[in-house]
Amino acid sequence: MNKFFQLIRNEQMKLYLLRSTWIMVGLLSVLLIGMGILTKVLDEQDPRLATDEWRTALEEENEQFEKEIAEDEFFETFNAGFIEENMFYLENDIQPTKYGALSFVYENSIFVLLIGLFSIIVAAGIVANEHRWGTIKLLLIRPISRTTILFSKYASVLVFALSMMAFLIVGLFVIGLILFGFEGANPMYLISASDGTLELTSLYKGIVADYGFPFIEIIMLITLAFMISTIFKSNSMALGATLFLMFTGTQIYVWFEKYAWSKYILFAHTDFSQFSSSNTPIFEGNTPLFSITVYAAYYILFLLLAWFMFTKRDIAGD
Amino acid sequence: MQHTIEISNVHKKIGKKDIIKGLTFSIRKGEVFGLIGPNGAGKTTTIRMMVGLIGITEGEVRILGKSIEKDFKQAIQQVGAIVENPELYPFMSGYKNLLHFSRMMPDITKERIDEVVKIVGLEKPIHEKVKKYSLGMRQRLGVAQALLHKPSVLILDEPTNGLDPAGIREIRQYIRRLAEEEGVSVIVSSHMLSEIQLMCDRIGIIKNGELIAIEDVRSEKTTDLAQTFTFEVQPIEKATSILEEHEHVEVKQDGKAIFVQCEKDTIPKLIQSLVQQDILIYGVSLAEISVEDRFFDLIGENIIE
Ligand SMILES: Nc1ncnc2c1ncn2[C@@H]1O[C@H](COP(=O)(O)OP(=O)(O)OP(=O)(O)O)[C@@H](O)[C@H]1O
Ligand SMILES: [Mg+2]
Repeated sequence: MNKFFQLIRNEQMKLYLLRSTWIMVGLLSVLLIGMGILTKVLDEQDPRLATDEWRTALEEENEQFEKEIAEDEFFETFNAGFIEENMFYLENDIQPTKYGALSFVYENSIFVLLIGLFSIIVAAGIVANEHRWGTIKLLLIRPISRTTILFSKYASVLVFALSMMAFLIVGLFVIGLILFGFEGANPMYLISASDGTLELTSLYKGIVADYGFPFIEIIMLITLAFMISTIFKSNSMALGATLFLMFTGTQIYVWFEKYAWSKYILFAHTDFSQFSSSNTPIFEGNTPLFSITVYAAYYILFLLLAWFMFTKRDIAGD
Repeated sequence: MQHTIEISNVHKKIGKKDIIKGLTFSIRKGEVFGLIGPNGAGKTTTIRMMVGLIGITEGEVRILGKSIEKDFKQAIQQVGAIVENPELYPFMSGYKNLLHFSRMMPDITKERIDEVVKIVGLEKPIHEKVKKYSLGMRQRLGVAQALLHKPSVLILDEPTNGLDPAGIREIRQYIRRLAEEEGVSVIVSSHMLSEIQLMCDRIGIIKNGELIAIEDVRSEKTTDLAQTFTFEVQPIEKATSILEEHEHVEVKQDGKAIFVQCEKDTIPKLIQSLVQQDILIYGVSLAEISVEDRFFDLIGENIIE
C-alpha cells in the first residue's frame, strides 16, 4: 500500500510540474472570479428581500415582470416561471432565502463540465505521455508490476478530478462569501417537480445533486479516455474520441432508441439525475439498479481492456 | 554464483520477422561485457528482453538465477538500466527525476541520491530542468538513475552515445571501478567498437540477430593481435606473395595496402626481403586497432539487412 501511495505521489508531482496543469488551474480561477464579479454587477438583488419588506419587494418584482410581458411577448417564457416562484413564496408566506455563497455555488454547477474536460485531458495524457517522452521504459523496469503502475496512474487521475472538484466548490464558495455573504444555516430553494408543481428543497441537496450527478458521468468519461490512451498510446486520439462521445453520447442513444438493445447503450446510463423527482427516466421502465449495472459493466470492461493491453504489450520502438 | 546473467537460446520474433535468432551467453560477476554490432543488429532488442520490456519468444533470461519473465520483480530488482536513449522527464529537474525513480524502489535515501549525483558529476546542474541538459548530461543522469539502488547488474544501451572523449573516459573509468571494486556485472552495447573496447573484458559481436563471435579483449591473444602492421608498397600482389613466404606471419591485403600480423622483431627481416626483390616501400606502420579489424572481418560491410 505504501508503494502505491509513493506511485501516486510521483504522478501528482509530475502532473503539477507540467505547465498545462497550471494553465487549467489558472483558467478556472479567472473564470470563477469573473463569474463572481459578473453576478455581482448584473444580478444585484433587491436588498429589501433580506428584510421584513420582502413581500412588497416580491410584489413589485412581479408587477415589473408582467409589464415586460405586456410590452413584449418574448419575455413570457422567462418571466412566467419567476412570477410563479414569487407567488409561491407569497401564498405560503415563506421568505425566500437571500442570495449568498451557497446560492452562488449552486448556480454555477455548469463549471463541472470544465472540470470534466480538464480531467479527461489528464486521463488522456497520463499513459500516452510516458510513451511520448520515452520514460515508459524507465518506469517499467522497476520491481513493481505493470498492473500496479497502471492502476496508480488511474487512481491519480481520480485524485486530480476530485482535487479539481474541491477546488471548484471551495473557490466558488469563497468568492461567493466575499461578494454576497452567507445565506444562513438552512437555505432553501424552489424546484419544479416532474408534474409541474413547485417544491421547496434544501439548497445543500441541490448542490450535491448538481455536482454529484455530472461527476458520476465524468468518472465514466475519464475511464474511457484512460482506456483509449492506454490502448492506442495516443493523447489526441483519446481526447478527441472522448470529447466527441461526451457531447454526442445522448444523441447516439436517441438514434438507436427504437431498437430493443439500445437500453444497453452506455450513454443511457451515465446521467443518474434521470431518477431524481424533477426528471423522468431516459426510457420507460429504466431503474436505478439497471443503470448502475450497465454503468458498472462498462466501467469494468474499460479498465480490463486497458489493463490487458498495458500488461501484455511489448515496449518496443515507439 | 558464478554467472550473474545467463541468456540461453533467446529468440525474438516480431510479426513474421525473426529479429533475434538464438542468443546464448553468460556474464560473470564483476565482468564488463560489450555487445557490439552494426545498426539494426538486435542489440537494443536483446536488451529490451533482458529487462522485461518485451516478451521473449523462446529461450530464457536469468538474472542471479531468477527468470526475468517468471520472477520479474526479483530479477529486475538487481538490474539498473538505460534502454536506447536516456529519456527522462524534460520538464522536471534532474534531482526530481532521481527522486521520482527512487520512490519506485525500496530503501533509497536522500543521501544515496546525492551520492549518485556526485558519482556522475552532475552536482551543478542537478536542480535545472532536464530539457536544458545536453545529450551528455542526460546520459549521465541516465546512468545515475540506473545506479540508484546499487544494482548487481548494470545494462547500458549505447552509454557513450553523445559523450565527448572526456565523458567517454569518465564513464569507462567509472564502469571499470564498479566492476572491479563492487563486483557489478555490466553489459554495454555500442556500434562503435573503439568507444567501449577499453572498458570491456569480453566483447560479443552480434549481427542479424545472431552472436557470431565472443572476443576476449584482455587475453594474451589480443595483445598479439594488436601487432598488426600496415605496409604501403608497390606492386602489392608481388609483395604479398613475398611476405607470405615468411613463417609466423599472417598476410592480408585490400588492394591498397597489405596488413601483416606478426611480432615486431620480424619486421626488419620482412622489409629486407621486400627491398631485395625491388619492391617500393612507401611506409610501414603499426595498425592501431585490432579488434576493430576483426570486427569488420566478422560483420563484413556495415550493411543493415
Ligand atoms: N517493434 C519492432 N517491429 C518490427 N521490427 C523491429 C521492431 N523493433 C526493432 N525491429 C527490428 O529489429 C532489428 C534490430 O533492431 P535493434 O533496435 O535491436 O537494433 P540495434 O542493434 O539496437 O541497432 P542500433 O545500433 O541502431 O541501435 C532491426 O532490423 C529493426 O528493424
Ligand atoms: Mg540500439
